Amino acid sequence: MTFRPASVICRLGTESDDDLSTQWIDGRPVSTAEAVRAAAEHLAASRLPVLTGDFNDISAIRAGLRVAALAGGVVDHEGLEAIRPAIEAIRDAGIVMGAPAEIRRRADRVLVIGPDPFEGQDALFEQIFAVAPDIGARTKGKTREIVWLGASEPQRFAKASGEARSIGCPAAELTEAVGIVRAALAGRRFADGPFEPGGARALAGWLVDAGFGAVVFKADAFDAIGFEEIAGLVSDLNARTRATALPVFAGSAFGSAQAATWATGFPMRVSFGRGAPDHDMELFKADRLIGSGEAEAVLLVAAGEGRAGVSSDAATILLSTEEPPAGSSVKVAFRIGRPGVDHDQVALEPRFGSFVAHAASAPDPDAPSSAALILSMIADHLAEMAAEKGAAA
Amino acid sequence: MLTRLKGGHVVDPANGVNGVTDLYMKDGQLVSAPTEPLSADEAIDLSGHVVMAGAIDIHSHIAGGHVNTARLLLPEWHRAFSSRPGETALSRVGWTTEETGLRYAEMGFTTVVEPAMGPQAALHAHLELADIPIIDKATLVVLGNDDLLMSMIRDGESEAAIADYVAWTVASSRALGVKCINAGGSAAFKDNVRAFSLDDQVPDYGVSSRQIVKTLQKAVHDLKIPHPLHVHCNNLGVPGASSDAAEATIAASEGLPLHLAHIQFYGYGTEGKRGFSSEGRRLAALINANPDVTVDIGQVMFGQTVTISSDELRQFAGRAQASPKKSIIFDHEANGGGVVPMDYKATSFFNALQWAIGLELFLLIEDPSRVFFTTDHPNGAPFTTYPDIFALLMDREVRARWIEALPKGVAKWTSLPEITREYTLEEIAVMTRASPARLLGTSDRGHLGAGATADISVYRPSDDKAEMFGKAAYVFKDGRLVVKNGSVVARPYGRALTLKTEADKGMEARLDRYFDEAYGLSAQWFKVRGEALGRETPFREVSCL
Repeated sequence: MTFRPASVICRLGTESDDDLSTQWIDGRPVSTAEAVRAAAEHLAASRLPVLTGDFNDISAIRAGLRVAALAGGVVDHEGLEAIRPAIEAIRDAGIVMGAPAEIRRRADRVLVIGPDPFEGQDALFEQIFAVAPDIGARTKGKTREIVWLGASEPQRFAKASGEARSIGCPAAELTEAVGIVRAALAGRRFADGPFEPGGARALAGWLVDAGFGAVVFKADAFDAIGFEEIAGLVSDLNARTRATALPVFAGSAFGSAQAATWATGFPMRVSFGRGAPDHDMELFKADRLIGSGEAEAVLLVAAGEGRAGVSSDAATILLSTEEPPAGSSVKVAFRIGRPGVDHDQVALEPRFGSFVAHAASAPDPDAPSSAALILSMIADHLAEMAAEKGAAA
Repeated sequence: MLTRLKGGHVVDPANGVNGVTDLYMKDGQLVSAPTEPLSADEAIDLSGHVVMAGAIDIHSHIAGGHVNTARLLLPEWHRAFSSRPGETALSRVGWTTEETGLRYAEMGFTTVVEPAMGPQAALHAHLELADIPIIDKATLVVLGNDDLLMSMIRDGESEAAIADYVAWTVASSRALGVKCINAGGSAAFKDNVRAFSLDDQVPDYGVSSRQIVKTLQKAVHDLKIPHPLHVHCNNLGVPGASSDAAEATIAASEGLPLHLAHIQFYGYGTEGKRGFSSEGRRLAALINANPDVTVDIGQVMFGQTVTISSDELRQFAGRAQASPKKSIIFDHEANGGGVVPMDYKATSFFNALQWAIGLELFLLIEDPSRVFFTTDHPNGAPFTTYPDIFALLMDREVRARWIEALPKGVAKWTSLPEITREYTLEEIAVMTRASPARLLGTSDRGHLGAGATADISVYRPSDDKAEMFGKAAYVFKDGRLVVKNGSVVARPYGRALTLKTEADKGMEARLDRYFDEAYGLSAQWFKVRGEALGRETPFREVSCL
């Protein structure tokens, strides 16, 4: 599979100007140029434009940030609220964290905490647990031991290379349980909490005796305190042995947050209303701004199925892989191609711990333009409008 | 369009020019003077100005996973974190991709090298670089803690096979060169080793740090990569052990070129009641005596910053000095790394001596073509402190004022007060233009001869060198005016300079199997394709020697 050059995508975009089947103004089919112009004008005229959605392609969030910067708008990601505790915990307290590839090869003991972090992440599970540790003087050739804290039974790990057991713990007591293990590690007094008598001390000892321990958990399953507690446990362990954390992120929010961080200094939510990017997790929450009526224009990127429905009193610009439903409040709509299917996609790959460029799996020259291309065209039009305004002034 | 840059004082040591002359540029390049000077379509009067090639920074952490993690970790230092402070601790840092390009350009820098790109984070780094406006960029890819290299050395594989692996890594990651960071140290740390020196062996592999450095040095040389192996030595920052590491690594160059990064962080001895003293004079003498070796400084300046490094072992140890008290450490395959905030206090004996050691090295290394101007941004200080460092190098009275303000007792532990040398404009041009271009193999820049890329910095002469170098009067990038009177007036996107090299097909097939079997990863994921970066011309290729 070859990666389709951006220049080819650009040409498709301009050629599709005469294609009236993929963009609409007030439900009326229009050319791409007309729709782009209308979208840019709505955003520019708005005192508070809000961009949100699923941004399943790093190219799309990069272009979206440029639109927001030029329009003085807010950028949010619909998955951000779920990972907000993780972001806040990481930046408040730090963490020692590892890549799945290194955990696969080196971790002789793995503590899994809380809800199944591998739900919907079979490839990641397979990557880590298909083999036994094979490097490291302290870990090579050992049978991997897995403890799942918070599960009634370790069935999920039946196919893992190694031995698994579980320690039951109600979800609401997981943070406390981790705190108890930290107390046991530090030699402080503690109550048994959800552990059987002696269980916490045994678990702490098991972790300390690891050659290279890994603590794996679902990143969005804990509040900030819970996340920080787990990071604290790993930090404590590293005073005596080696251990690393693997918070498993699902969806595109964390990747988009990283792109926003390099572009603005912040992981979203970001406003360009005062020119330079401002960051506030609550103030610039898209749902709140739309729900309260503060948003005067909304640009929604919806690359998933069943996502085209929009309800907002604000003038809405929709970029969707589906056609907008009849009678919706959408002012300007663009049908976009599916990232990774119709178009190439850059996304955070959990197994890699970094970004990967995926070539389109079913490239179709007749597919609608990508969200990134539409957003880039809107940004270009906004830049032209700003230049004309500057020249006139 | 032919443009005449008229009457400036041109300082172009690569071409032996240091005087008033005209320059001509056309289609983004400098061209020879036409037989009829008035035939130019446009003339810009630069009389009274100093004209140099665009400056080149060979070692500045401006992009990639660790840099971005530092941004994530430290939102409170960004100007706009809240509506309250206009000035925060890092408000002068070029913190975002956009600001990085703008702030560098305003000072007359037109090419910057990100020196620590992990192979697995290459796409991330290039995505960020693609978003940095104006300047050209380049990267050094990091090897030396990776399982495959250490296994190949242990198993006695041929130099040719190892060179093929290095070539594949450079080509896949679209790098310009290779860096080695605490060779073997991060791998040893994963086996719970907490101190690691040049002749220590990596557990499980049985190869020493020295073997790794020498192997990579030879591979880079054999591949005819212009930039010599860029080495971050063992034991960075450890009094005594750091200077020992630098000395041993300098001695290990053994007739082949070697570049030692941020040498200031290795200039620490153990004398005195605090167990911290300057080895600057001794290291400078060693460097002066070894023509195979080049160094950049990694100057410390006072103020809040953040350290970013793929030296996981040292960053983990550095957690104890974190200010504020938080850090992020990575256990990646190969190097890993860490982000640790640091506040260099002018009132601290240790930090003040670090500052002095950097300047000792700058001023005692005699050949300005072998010492390079860096703060190891942001590790020693943000790159936005460069104007002050130019002033410290070029004006001994400025130095004297800074020394006077140091904590009592520092002056007697450094030879800095006795050093009278002042860098000349020509030496500055050597250090920041001509030599970096030669070291990187980028012959199209660093000079103002015909055929060079028209990257040109123009300064208004001033006794206040910080003022002079802080805001360029004009900067041209590829012949286009991008800065005027210290302010950006245009924001074109530059390119990433990448080495023109190809991977061996046999190694390609081997690595497809290796990454799949060893890590459960696709080797294709390591490959950076320009199409993913969203720029018309993301790369410019640089030839091997």
